[in-house]
This record gives sequence, structure tokens and C-alpha cells, in this order.
Amino acid sequence: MFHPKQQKPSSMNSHHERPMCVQGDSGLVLTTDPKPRLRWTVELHERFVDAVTQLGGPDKATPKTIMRVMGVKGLTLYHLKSHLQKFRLGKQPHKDFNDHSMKDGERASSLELQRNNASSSGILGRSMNDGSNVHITDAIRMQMEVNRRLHEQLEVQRHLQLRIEAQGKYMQTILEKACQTLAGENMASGSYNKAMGPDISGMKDFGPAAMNFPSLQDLNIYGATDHLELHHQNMDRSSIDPFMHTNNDSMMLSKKRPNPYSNNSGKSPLIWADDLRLQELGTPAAAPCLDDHHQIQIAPLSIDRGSDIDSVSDIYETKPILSGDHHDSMGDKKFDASAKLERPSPRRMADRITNHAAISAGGITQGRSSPFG
Amino acid sequence: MAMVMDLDHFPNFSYATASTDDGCNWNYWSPVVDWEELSAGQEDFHHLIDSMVVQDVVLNQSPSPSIYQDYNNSSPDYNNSSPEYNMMTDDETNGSDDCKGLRLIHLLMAAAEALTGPNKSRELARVILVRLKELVSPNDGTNMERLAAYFTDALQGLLDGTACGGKNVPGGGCGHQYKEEHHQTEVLAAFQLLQDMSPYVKFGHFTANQAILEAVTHDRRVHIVDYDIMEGIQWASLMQALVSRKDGPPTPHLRITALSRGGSGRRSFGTIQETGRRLTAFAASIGQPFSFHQCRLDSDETFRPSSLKLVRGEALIFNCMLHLPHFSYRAPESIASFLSGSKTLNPRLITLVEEEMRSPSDEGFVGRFMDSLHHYSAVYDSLEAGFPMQGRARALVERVFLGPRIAGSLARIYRACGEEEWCSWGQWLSAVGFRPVNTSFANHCQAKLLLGLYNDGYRVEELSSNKLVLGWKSRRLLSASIWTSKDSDL
Amino acid sequence: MTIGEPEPNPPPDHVLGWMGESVSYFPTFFDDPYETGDFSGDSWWVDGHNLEQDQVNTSANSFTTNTTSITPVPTDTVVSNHSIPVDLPKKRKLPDDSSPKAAQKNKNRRVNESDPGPAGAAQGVAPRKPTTHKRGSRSAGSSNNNSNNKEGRWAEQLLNPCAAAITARNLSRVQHFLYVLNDLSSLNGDANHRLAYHGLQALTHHLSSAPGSSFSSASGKTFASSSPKFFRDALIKFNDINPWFRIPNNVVNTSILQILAEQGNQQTNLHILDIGVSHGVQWPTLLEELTRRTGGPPPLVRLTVVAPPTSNDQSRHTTPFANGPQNYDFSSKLLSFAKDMNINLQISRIENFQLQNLNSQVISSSAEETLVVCAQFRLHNLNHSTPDDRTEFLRVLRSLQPKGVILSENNTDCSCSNCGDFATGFSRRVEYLWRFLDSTSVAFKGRESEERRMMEAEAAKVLINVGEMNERKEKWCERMKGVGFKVEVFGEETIDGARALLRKYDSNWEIRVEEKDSCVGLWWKGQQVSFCSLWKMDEDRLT
Repeated sequence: MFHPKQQKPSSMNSHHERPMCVQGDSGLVLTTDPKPRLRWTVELHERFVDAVTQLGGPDKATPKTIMRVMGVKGLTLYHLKSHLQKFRLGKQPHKDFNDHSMKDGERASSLELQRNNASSSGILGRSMNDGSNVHITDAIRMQMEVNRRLHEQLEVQRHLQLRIEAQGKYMQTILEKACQTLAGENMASGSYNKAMGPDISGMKDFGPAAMNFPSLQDLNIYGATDHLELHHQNMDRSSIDPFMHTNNDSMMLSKKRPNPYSNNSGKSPLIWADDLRLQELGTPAAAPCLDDHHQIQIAPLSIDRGSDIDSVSDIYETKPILSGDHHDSMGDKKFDASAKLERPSPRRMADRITNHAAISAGGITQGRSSPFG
Repeated sequence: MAMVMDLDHFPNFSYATASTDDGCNWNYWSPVVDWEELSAGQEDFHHLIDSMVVQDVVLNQSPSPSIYQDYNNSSPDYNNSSPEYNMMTDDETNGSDDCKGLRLIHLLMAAAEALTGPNKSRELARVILVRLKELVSPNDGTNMERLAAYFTDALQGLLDGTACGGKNVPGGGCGHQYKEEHHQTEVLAAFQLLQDMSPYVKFGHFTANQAILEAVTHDRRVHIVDYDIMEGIQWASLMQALVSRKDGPPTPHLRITALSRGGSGRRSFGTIQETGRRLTAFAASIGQPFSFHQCRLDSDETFRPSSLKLVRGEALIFNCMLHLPHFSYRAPESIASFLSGSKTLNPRLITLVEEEMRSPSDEGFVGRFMDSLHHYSAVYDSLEAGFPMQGRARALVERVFLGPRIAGSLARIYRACGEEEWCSWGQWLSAVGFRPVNTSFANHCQAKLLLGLYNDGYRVEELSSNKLVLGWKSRRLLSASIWTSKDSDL
Repeated sequence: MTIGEPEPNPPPDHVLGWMGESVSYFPTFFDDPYETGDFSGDSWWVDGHNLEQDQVNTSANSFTTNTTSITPVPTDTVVSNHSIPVDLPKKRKLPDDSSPKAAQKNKNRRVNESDPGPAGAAQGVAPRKPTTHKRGSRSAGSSNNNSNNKEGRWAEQLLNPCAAAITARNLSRVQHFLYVLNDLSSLNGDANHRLAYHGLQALTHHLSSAPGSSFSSASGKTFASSSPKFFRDALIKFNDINPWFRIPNNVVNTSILQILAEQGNQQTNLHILDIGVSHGVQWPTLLEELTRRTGGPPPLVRLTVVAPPTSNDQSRHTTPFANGPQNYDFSSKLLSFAKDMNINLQISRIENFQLQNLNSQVISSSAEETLVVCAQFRLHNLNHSTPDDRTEFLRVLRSLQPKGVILSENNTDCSCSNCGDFATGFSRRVEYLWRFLDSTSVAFKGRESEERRMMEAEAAKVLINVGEMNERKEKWCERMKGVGFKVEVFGEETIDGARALLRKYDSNWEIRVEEKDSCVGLWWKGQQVSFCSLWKMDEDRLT
């Protein structure tokens, strides 16, 4: 059975009444034995294999590097050392994996995929964890289920991509229409500035770009396609900026103008970086003019949830950016650095309000424990 | 009130030294005072203060509060209710952000209490709001500060009695600051940004669509009645999925009936006709057999099932998207008429997307107010996490969608205070006899993958077998649930 | 308040005396509250130094005389161990100083001011601003008298629930209110912001201090921490713009005159027992009035000032208005003023003496003199139950056989810990302070000043004073009757004088005279602030 509900991470020693403790996000399964003995579950093993493969095979991988790549909390060098030894010897640590090994081919392909789509393993990992209470004799059945799920997930992923893409296309038609309307208004009014008054004021939030509006508008709406193509080549990176959509010219489907934030000097690379991720993944609408030749990028779905990776810089260090054609190495480096430097730490207002709400306006309750602890 | 003050007459008074060192640096209270340490004795309170003092010392990294008291305009006027505060609004550093955020929450809560509650005091509410306005602006500052600005504005609307739960504004409110119409391009830009920044819109649409797809696998004709079609973006991805499905019969015919409101409800994306044309064109472009219809709600927005044109043999789906961030407010009576009306038509599926709010029926206005604050702060945080550097983009989304929505929902909470037994529409459906339909693995999986595209803080949670909830960190924000009528063959 | 009093008969008041014919006339004080040098009803305070400068044409002789007169002369009348006898001239140097001469002197001294006395009105040499009648605005404003709008008092909406939360030991609520108060309190704001500020300080003090720990005056400069000169000037200024103390003082003074007039013998000595908070500023007026009395001043005027106990440091820091600066001593100034008035004044000061231990020996009173007890805003600090020091002291007063007792007290409920929980007591103190801050804010026209800050900080002590054992007027009357006093109706002059005096103040002030108990009540915005009552020995009950 598939239980999608996540379990809360628990410490090693907490749930004594249960046969084992499950550490939800890491995929690490630990026994209640006070000695940190480790159960190598299917999923954990898969991750292990994945890591080894990434590191260039069992001979090149070391426990230390594996530990870093796997990024599973609670996993120690000691665990990895022995497991790696067994792995090198070709010995399976558990007979559970016999069945698994027979399907190595399929697993390998899934690993391929996981390298490209880091998040899937995370999601899979969690779904696997949820099944980990299943008695060990069910392991085989579970393994089959896992494979089926994996397959299904790949399907889902493919579909999701297409759906996002379709939605993006549709959004594009809305934008198109809006541009036409605007253009129509402009033509009708005859006085450009007057007609665009409200628009400009509306757009003024979006920086100096709005100032360029007239010429760019002409350029993009009535201008030559060739010109656009040229821009396309040169300015593709900036086209990824979602701000484009907020500019009038982007309404005209032109993705061909510089980043409005480029005036803000050093910050733009980071903006791109951040935008890039979602823009590209979330809104293929960015694909210029819906032209077919523009390949919509398959998204790197997410970072591996199971790890401790949670900062942007980590993401970009550990995961190759798919849109390599948009980034030369310089660019990557640049925004790596800026990401580290400039990304503000996430706020926690929401959490705090949760706590705070316990103050309860309701009134005076004696002995209520403090929400501020 | 004009100042009548001749400076020559009292050259010896220095306002700059008026209220500085009181030995009690309250502005730097730690929000993490260990109140747990306190048990029952009187001494506890001493510790309370002591610990604050200690924390002051530790946390006092920010510049000392300076007094921005220009001699020329500093002396409080006689009726001046907004004295010069020696606050550090401008030179606060990040270190004090949290502290300030906490202050804002306390102030907002106090203002909400002053508007209602046993110690109702409009004057107190007014003073607090004056203070809040000095502290925050909707256009800059931290999340909490911007959020507080909108809440402040919404409360001001309640205080002035200018708030209204209007139906024509997204969110259904018209806090006085938002009365001016947002231009269409702004709305459009904000809509696109919202989609890019957060999974809210897609989560609702895709989860519903996936359920629909699974429910009509073998059907040749599918008829979707859409309560609030908006710009129709939900259906593009459904069409795409329908045309690309591999197994089963050929692409089914899709018919969408959009309910339209009597008045000129929609301002943002043009008329429903436009949406219909757009959808039709889109369907044509991908080879989806498609037809589009409209069905007018009654003048009071009541849905009459008899006004629907139904065709025998088509799988009937009722789609009810509520409370998506960019949606406009719909009266509960209207929604109820739609959902209960649907029951008489025995639909295959009802897809419902709604906001997740705690059910605070017993907590009165302040409880619900705090819940709203919590809810929207989670939304703000999620948007910021998605686009940390793009304050202006977020500001646009906040201004166009969230601000009015906050104003509207507070106005409704305020009016409904004490009257309305509030429950979610899901609960309502269950209560009137709809059956839950399990969400599939694929649907769940899709949601997770979708969220994976966005920020780490998003969570999907299967709250019950037929309900997926999108959350930010620990806060549930939006849920999609799937239902069927009891007699359905599904 | 009634406006229809006959104007040409100004009440005997030292400021009004100067003003001469017009009670409605006031200098531009309301516009220039800080222009202290220009207007002062307190010429007697002028320092010798200033005096020197002003006294351009005064002969060296008169100057010398003047100087001599203020030199303290040791006295052999040691009344008690605790007394500090000051300025008890055995011989009046200028016993026959004629009035004109005195007037002339005064004139010279107050070159910038108008002359005192009935005759002085026309002789004003100083530039005087034209008489302006502020009646129109005042009567217009008086319609607000009853608009005691609780709604506008938002600070209490935070302070009282916070105190209630403290009582209920609801820590998170307490913290919530402290946060909000912290954000809304300000020493620079209106009365509410200030109240929030002082209230927050007091709550913090309550939360953080062990009972009995000393209070470091976080609320700023109080009486005790001010310089004597500043204190004196500020107090005088305050009295000129806020009748909080001025009206009670005025009632006392006119009542003393009334009591004197009732005594058959013009030549009996007057002995005033001053148990008050006026710090001497009320007496010059009385002295002036005494000179105008038919038959002149009494042969000897004795003023026995009972200083508040200083032994108890706690109360010194928490009892509002009672303690002046350490070095403050008004005796010498007052004596020299008396000298100028040709009044034989004798001042003794009783320090460090518990009130209930007073007796005739301590104050060295005699049956021949006219003893008048003036008890102002001090007796409520006496324990009113177990032990009932208060009744005990009133008995002592009765045993002194005074010809009259003028009792002025806050007309409000007790806020001590025996009479209610913390929240109850705190809210009463807060309400008291609110009236003070509100009226003071009006008095200062909302403007900031050091004087205002000091007065308010001093008043704010009430919030942390555990000895605020106020009682309602009725209870006080009961106690007075219980120990053998009977209430005496104030003379018409007293009431009229107080009313006329009140006209110079904000129209939210009013005086109400209760028919049934004959007390004079001072009200602010329809709320009782204080009352004055006049008592004589009930001869039927010789206790």
C-alpha cells in the first residue's frame, strides 16, 4: 500500500514501542537499538547505488564522498564503509535485494532519469519510507510495487510537463490578445502617450523598461521578424526573466529585450538565476511566439528532498542546470556566487504567527503555556 | 492642526534629549524570551522582565533608537495623536526584522481586538492603526511589514466603515486604497507572475483535471460545468491531456458550460465569450473536439439546474474553483446553489478547490483575524521564497490580488462575526450527502512533482482520501477535493 | 460653572491681586507658556540676584535692609527635636513700615509687573498687555464639561487589561499588552501616549521588582531630582495653568481669612499647621490678603510646616507631590516677603515626624492663638485600616483644638492592596493619573516642556505607590465627624473666589458645591478630582 502521508522525523530513540523508527525525509531507517544500527532499505540502497554511480563507480567512490552525495542524515561513515565493502564484493547486504538485483536493468534506467531529475528520488524516497513499516517478507511485493510506481511517476512527470506547457501556451494566447487590445487602443486614440497613460503608470513598477515602451512596442508589434530572431539569439537569457511578461513589450510576445533590471547592475544575474528556475520550469509560455523550433526544456524537477540541501547555492552546486544552452560557464559561476551572497535567509513569519496565534486573543486563560518558548 | 509656535520663545528646550534614555530599552525585546521558564510564583514575573533585560543586551546589535525629532516640527501638537516616536523604522537592520515583525503582529492583534471584543475601543483601534501606518508600507519592507500594511489598511476600512465585501473585485473587498481599478495589463501581469511564482493556481487546476481525466477514461463525451471559469486557463491542460491519452477510446468530445453572472462581474480577463473563443481556438489548435456554452446564473447568482442543457450519455462534471488567489469573491449562497443544484443532476464528479482556513467558529473576530494573518503570511512567505529578489514583482501580485483579498475577507469576517457557522465547502458537500472519491497515486504524485518545481517550503498533504492540500511549511493553504453524488456509478 | 459672578470684586488671590480690576485678564500666558520672565504671580520668589538687577533706582539703604531681613535669625524657640526653626525674628526691624512704603518697594522690585494691592491697579509701570476677555471661548467650551468620553481614553484600554492579565497570571496576555504598550507609549505624545508610557513603566516595575525594592525613577525627572529653583518655578507655573492644586490652595487661604474674621479678637496670633503639598507657594497670597484685612495682619503669623517623613525611602520615591528637592527651602524667601508686607511671620518646619504623633507640644500651639489646620493631599497616605492611623491622626487633630480644619483630598477610591487586587488598584491609579495628564496636557496646550515633564513624572509616581489609600469624600466626612468635627459651610467669598479664579483655567474644569455636605468639589470633564471641606470642632462632642 502506498501511504503518502509523511511521517515526522523522529529521533533515534524516541519511538520505543515501534519496531523501527522512520526518519521521513532522509529515507533512513533506524532500529530502536540504541546502537545506531542501520537497516539498508531498498530505497536507501538505491540512493547509495545512485551515489556510487555518480561518483564513477564503486572503485572510485569513497565512504566520505558517498556520504556527501547521499546527504542522508544519520548515516555515518561507519555505515557506508561496510556497505561499500559489501557492494564492492558484489555481495548484497540483504537477501531482500535479490529480487531487486534481477531488475538491475530497469533500475539503471531509473537512475539515469534520477540524475536528470533530482527531485523524483526525493519524492520516491518518501513514498518508500511510508511503506517501510511493511513486514520484511513483503519486501518483494513492495519492490514490484515500487517499480510500478516509479514507472507511473515517470509517466506523471511526462504528463505534467505537457500540461504545464499547454497551460503556458494558453496563457500566451491571453497575452497575445491583451497586446492586440493595447495596440488597438493605441491606434484608435492616435495619441500614443495619452492612451498609454494608465498603462505606463501601471507599469512603472517594473522599472526603467517602461520608459522604452514606445520604441520597443513598435519594434515588436509591427517590427520585422528577422529583428526578433536576432534578439532571440542574443538576448535569450534575458528573455527568461519573468519580468518580461510584466512589461508591455512582453505582452507583445517579444521576449527580446534586455532585462529591465540590467540597470541594477550586479543583481541581475541572481534575478536570472531565480527566475530561470521557475520561469523555465513553470512557464514554458516563455517560449517565444510558440514557435515549434524552440525546445521546451524538460525541467529538473526539484532538488533531492532527502538531503540537507536547502539553499540556492547548494542546489546549483549539486545539480546541473539543464538549460546549458542559455548559460555559459561564466554565467553560471556568476550567479552561483551571487546566490550565495545575496539570497536572503527565508523568513519565518508564518511559523511565528502560528505560535503567536496561541496567544489567543480570546481572553485570559490561566496557566496557558507560553507560545513563545 | 497648524503649529503656532515661536521658536524664539523657548530656545532652551532641547527636544532631542526629551525621552531617550529611560534605561529601558523596550524596543529590543527579544521575541524569544523564555516564558516557559516561568512557573507560578510572583518571582516569575521578575524573571520575565529580567530575561528581557538580558536579552536586550544580547540582541542589541541594531543601532540604538535614534530620535528623528527635528526641532522645527517635533513638538506634538495639542490634538496630535501621532506623536513623534523615537522609532528606528528607517535604520532597522535585518537583525531587528524579526523583532519588528513580532511587534507588528501584536499591534495588529490589538487593533483587531479593539475593533471588537469586550474592550472594544474605536479610539484605541485608530491609534494603533496610526502607529502601524508609521511602521509599514505595502511597497517595501519585509514580508511581515508589507503584509501588515495590507492588514492595517483592511482594518482601517473596517474602522471607517468603508470596507465592503464587494463582488466585483478579486477577493471581494475594496479597502479604500484599492478602489481604483487595476488596469487590465496590471492584472494580467500579476496573474502571470502569480503563476510563475507559486504553484497555487496550477495545483488546483491540475489536481482537478487529473481527477476528471481519471473519471472519464472511457467516455466519448465529457461535459464540464464550470462555476467560475475566469480566463479558462484550467482547461488548456485538460485538453492537452485528453488529446494525448494513449489507451482508451479516441479523444472525447469536450463540452464546457461556463456559468456567467448577471452583472458585469468580471473585469480582469474580458468576458466569458472571450474565454469561450479562446478555448475554442486552443482546442482547435491541438485537435480537441470542443464546444463551449454559457449558462446564466440568476440575478442573485443562484444556479438553476434546469437552465443547463444536458446531453444523454455525456459524463457530467461539476468544477468549482473557489478562492484561488486571483479569483473574485463569490457569495456562499451562490456556491451552495451550484453545489446543491449539481446534486440533482447526478454528476460523475465534483471537483472542488477552496482555501483552507481553520474553522474558528468559536474564536470570534480576533481568532479568525489571526488565522487570516497566519494564512496570508504563509502566502507571502511562499511568494518571497519563490522570488526572493523580486520585491516589485511580488508587490504587484500583492497589490492586485492579495491586498484586495485581505480587505475583502476581513470585511466578511467582521460582518459575519458571531453569526456565521463557518465550515469548508468540502464539509458542506459531505454533509449534504456527496461521496468522496479517492485521489489517485498519479494525482498525488503529480502534485508533488508540481510543487517540486517551486520552492522547498511547499508541501502536499493528503488530508483525507479525496483531498489534497497544498501547504506552505506547516500552514495549509489550499485544498483540492474530489466528490461524486451518491448514486453515481463511479 | 457659573459665569455670572460679579466681576469687580476680585477674590483675594495674589495673582489676581496683581491683576487688579480684571479677573478675566491674563497675560499672554496661554500663548507663551514658557515665557516665564514676563509673567509671574510669584514676585516673592525673585532671587536676590535678579532683584539686584531690577532694582535700578533703589537706594543702597533699602537694599541693605532687604538683605538683612532675609538673614535667618536663630531662634530660641526650639519646639521639638525635629523642628528646624527658621527665621523667627524676635524683633521686627521695621514694625511701622507703612503700607505705601511697602507698596513702593514692591513696585521697585517688580519693575516689569503690575502692582499689587487695591491701590496698585493704576500704578502699573510695567508694560501690560491689554485686558482680554476670554469669556466667549470659555463659555463655549464649557458645554464640553460633561463629555467625559471613555472612548477617547485608549491607553486605559491597554493598561487595565494588562493589569488584569497580571492578576490572572496570564503571561502571554501580559506580554501581548506589553508589546503593544511599548509601541504606543511615548513621552512626547498626547495624554494617552504619556499615560501608556507611565503605565508601562509602572507595570514593568511591578513585574520586575520584589516588593519593597527601591524604584529607580524611570519616568524621568521628578520633584526630588529637580533643582530647587526649577522646581519652584515649575510649580508656580503649573499652578497658573492647572487648578489641580491652585483651587484647594485658594480655598484654604480664603477659609483662613474667614476663620480669622470669625474670631472676636483681632489681635490673636494666627497659627497655620501646613500638612500639604503646596511647598510654600500658596502662602504669599495669604500674606497679602492678611495685609488687606481690616485691622491689618495678626500680630504674629506662625506657619508650622509638617514635612513628609523622609525616613521611608520607598514612600519618598513613590508618594507624589509631597517631597520637594532636597535643598528646597522656601522659608527665607517667604520670610523676606512677609517682611516686605510688614507681617510678623514665623516659620517652623517639622521634619521626620509621623503625623499621628503630633501634639500641641510638638507644634507648640497655645490656646490663645487661632490654630488652623490645612491638610492637603497628604492624609490619604495614612494607613486607613489595621492599624487605622488615619482616624488616629484625625483624633490628634481634634486634640489640637483647632479653630478650623481645611481638608482637601482626592475624591476617589482606594487603590491599596487591601481594598482590591492589583488590577483594581492599578486601574484606579491609572484613572487618577489620566485626569492629571489630560488636564495637564490641556494646560500646556499639548506642548512639551521640562516643567510639564516634571509634573507628570511626579504624578506618575502614583502608579507605583502602594500607599495610595484614597477614600471617597463621604468616607472622609464620616471620619471627621467620628472624631468630633462638624462640617462648616464655606463662606460665600470662598466659593465665589474659587469660582472666579477657576475662570482663568480650561473650561473643562468646574467647581461643584454639594448642598448636603458643603464640600467644594473640583471636577475635570465631569469627573470628580478632589474636594475641599471645612471643619470645626463639634463643641457638643468634646472628645
